[in-house]
Amino acid sequence: CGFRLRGTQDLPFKTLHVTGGDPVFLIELKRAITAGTATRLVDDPKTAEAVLYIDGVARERHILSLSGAGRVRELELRLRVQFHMNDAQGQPFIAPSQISLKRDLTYDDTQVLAKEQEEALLYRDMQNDAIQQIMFRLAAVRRRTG
Amino acid sequence: CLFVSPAYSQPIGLPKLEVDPALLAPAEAAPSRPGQPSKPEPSPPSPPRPEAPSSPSSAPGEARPRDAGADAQGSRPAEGSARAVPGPVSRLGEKPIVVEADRIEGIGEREVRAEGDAVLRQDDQSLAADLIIYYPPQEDVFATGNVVLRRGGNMMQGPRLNFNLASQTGEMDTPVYQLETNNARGDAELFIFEGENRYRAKHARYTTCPVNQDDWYLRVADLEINRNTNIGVARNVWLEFQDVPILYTPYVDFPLGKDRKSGFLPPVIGTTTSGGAEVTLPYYWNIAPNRDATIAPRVIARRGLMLANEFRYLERGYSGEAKVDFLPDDQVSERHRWALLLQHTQTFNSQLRGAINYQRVSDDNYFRDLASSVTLTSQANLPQEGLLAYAGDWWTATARAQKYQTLQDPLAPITPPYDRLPQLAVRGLRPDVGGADLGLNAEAVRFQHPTLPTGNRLVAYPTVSYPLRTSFAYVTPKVGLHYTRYDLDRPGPDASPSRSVPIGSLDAGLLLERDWNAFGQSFLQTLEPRLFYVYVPFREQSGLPNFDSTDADFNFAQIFTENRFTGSDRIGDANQVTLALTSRLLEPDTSAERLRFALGQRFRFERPRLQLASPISPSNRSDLLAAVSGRISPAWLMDAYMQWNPGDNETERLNIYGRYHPAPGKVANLGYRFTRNALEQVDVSAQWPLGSRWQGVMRYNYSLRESRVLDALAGLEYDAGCWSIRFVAQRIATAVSQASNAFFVQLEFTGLGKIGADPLNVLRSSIPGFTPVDLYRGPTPGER
Repeated sequence: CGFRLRGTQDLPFKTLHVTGGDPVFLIELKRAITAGTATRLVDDPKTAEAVLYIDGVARERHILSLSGAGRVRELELRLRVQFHMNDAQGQPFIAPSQISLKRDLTYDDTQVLAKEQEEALLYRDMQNDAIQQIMFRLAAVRRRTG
Repeated sequence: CLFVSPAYSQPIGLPKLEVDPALLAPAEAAPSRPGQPSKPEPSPPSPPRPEAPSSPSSAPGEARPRDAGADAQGSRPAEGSARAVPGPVSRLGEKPIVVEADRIEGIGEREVRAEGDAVLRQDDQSLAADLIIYYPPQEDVFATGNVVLRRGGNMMQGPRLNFNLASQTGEMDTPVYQLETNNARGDAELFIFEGENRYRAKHARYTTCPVNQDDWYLRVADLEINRNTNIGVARNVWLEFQDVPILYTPYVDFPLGKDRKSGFLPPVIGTTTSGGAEVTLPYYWNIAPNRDATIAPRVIARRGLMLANEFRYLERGYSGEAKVDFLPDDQVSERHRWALLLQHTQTFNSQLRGAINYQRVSDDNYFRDLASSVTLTSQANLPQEGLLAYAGDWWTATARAQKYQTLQDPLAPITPPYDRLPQLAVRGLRPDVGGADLGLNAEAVRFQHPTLPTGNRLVAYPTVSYPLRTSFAYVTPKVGLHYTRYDLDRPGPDASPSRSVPIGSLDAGLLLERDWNAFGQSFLQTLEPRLFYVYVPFREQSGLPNFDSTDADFNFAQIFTENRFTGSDRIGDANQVTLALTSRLLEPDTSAERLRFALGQRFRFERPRLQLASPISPSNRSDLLAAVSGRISPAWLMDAYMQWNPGDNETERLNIYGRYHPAPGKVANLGYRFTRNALEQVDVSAQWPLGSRWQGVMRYNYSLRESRVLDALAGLEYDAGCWSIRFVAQRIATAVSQASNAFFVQLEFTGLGKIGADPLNVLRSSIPGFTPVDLYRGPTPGER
């Protein structure tokens, strides 16, 4: 049906500086880049061929449904990641972009601690999802320029 | 992580705080120098603020060439220049003054008399009149007949003007003015120039309505504007709507801020079932660019006067807010009612941060009686906690103390959660130690509770994984040992039970892709099969306490976890494999995800034995998960999720959501949610224009299972250009047998109260895709 194994994920830059975002998100993103590409991460943006800016990582929760008693029955968890990437000259590689994700979580006021851990699991899941999408976006830079 | 409670996550309609740039500037950079000119401000404060000639903005001592001819030619329209006679030129400071007119007479150096379309220009200001007399020695200007004073887009006209260029003082009789911002206009009996950047107006009127539409006026008996200190003071202020005075204040002062300004926000008038009629009159106090407060007196007919106060601050390194609501001596419940919220976050450095979140209310019924949003009334547990979090290069540590205030519904009482006093947690993953990743999750908690068994729990879960990956495939074998030890507050030999469980797993996936033409575009389509195998041996755990474990939701995140329970008190035995398939459509240029399909199911090789709340299914196949989400056309967004039980051939869960969003201001959301034996409801919401000036917003959330309206809201907004009125009717379920009905009316005057919480905010937060009207509406007919 035309599917092929994904080719190399090498990016068109050998060095990359990643900055911004919250520390936990940054750790995971850097880990994904280090493990998944041949690009080396550098601490000094001046020595990097490209700079990836994580402009914001927002986590929100909204009430999705109420029980008949007016209590929260389901929550919607949202993760929004804003980012952009420039080359060494400050020219945009990736224009300011946003990745929005959401997950549903059933809620129960008598299980607050357990639900908090499920919430953390879903945020980690969304974080991995967002990082995977950023990796796709980085690979698209290669396809356009290369 | 610490999340803001849903209680206060609703948008409050206030503008964003900004950190004072002076605070962010390096220490050696001087703050704004005294004597520096104030920058032109795009948005004046609400009361009249006509612009007038002010001192030149170039620095003293700066030499400017005296080039009157070039100046006149450059600023004069072509057809006028034929007529224009550049007049004598004087200098004030460094800005040349140019006088033009049909006839110009000079009497020595003492007097310049310009007659017939006379114009005096300096910098970006101009003065036009039938006759202008200028006395260079004293720098006095006298103008009469159709006097028009202009600066930027602001204009003031009147019959007569006296002005001294040196002292920047003078007077204009019965001026009529127009301001650039908000198309504001108005008039006054007298306008006085009181020196550089200082003005005063007597008996002034202000409106944003177009000429010949006198729907409303703000009247000020005495107004002082000081642009040096950026403070305005108004005395005897009242607001007239359709010639009826509706608001009065004897005195108000306000900073002439850029975007945010102090002042009264649109009042909210309404009625609720329990409190009767009520009026809220919020006052927004813009203390500084990085600090503000809202003080909202609220008069509730049957209860009394309530004061709601909110204070926010934002500094480099920390930010927060404090809310205090106080209703002394509620006449219905015969007691004081109050609510307190303190939230503070502190960033010590890039790795260490802290947070405090403390919420408390006076009684169980506080929100049910006094709040009108489900985010507040649905709360059962208010957090009270402090947190410190450290993020190292490959590990994180958190320490926190946490309690809750549990708000009981008498018809459905709940057991309050355990307090964690304290909880210490460490999470780490050290990558690439000889090719292996070493992980550790550890936690020590003291669980406190007034009625349930209490004790300490220590959990340590070290793991080793060995990830192998190529660009198209990955395999990660992982083994770990989950160790738990309790120290319970009970006598006897079983007060310190412990449990060790080895856990092994294998996670493997492939990444395939192809080019695929759909929706008239060439997408990159991915196909991502994934396999996840887990083995956990059975351990008898019935003797262990249960502080935080329960059956986890079955979903796409959970099927790739090792434990089917949340928390650490129960580790479920498993010998199972999860198979899942994800396919995405990526946009051709950017690889942004457009649409996603996913399927997943778990297969058991052995029937698990450990049971917690729900019974163990006899089938060796789990429910099947299927999901589709993304944008199926530019206007349509959809999200569908289904959990299907193949054994019983039953749908366990079905959530369908669609959004039609053809243009800003037009959005319709349709949702259906079903969870077997628990939930079945429809949720419809929309924002739609109804004609050129009306717009409607609504939400209807109905439980089919309980045949009960959970949240119904309808709002209508009429926008007359310079004012608007909103009507909102609302009904929300607040407890088993309680519901709250409310009706609100809000009148807003454009340019007077653009910011502010209003009853539609509740709805705005519950209509996904809602666009505030002023973000998409162009000029309406008749305006401008």
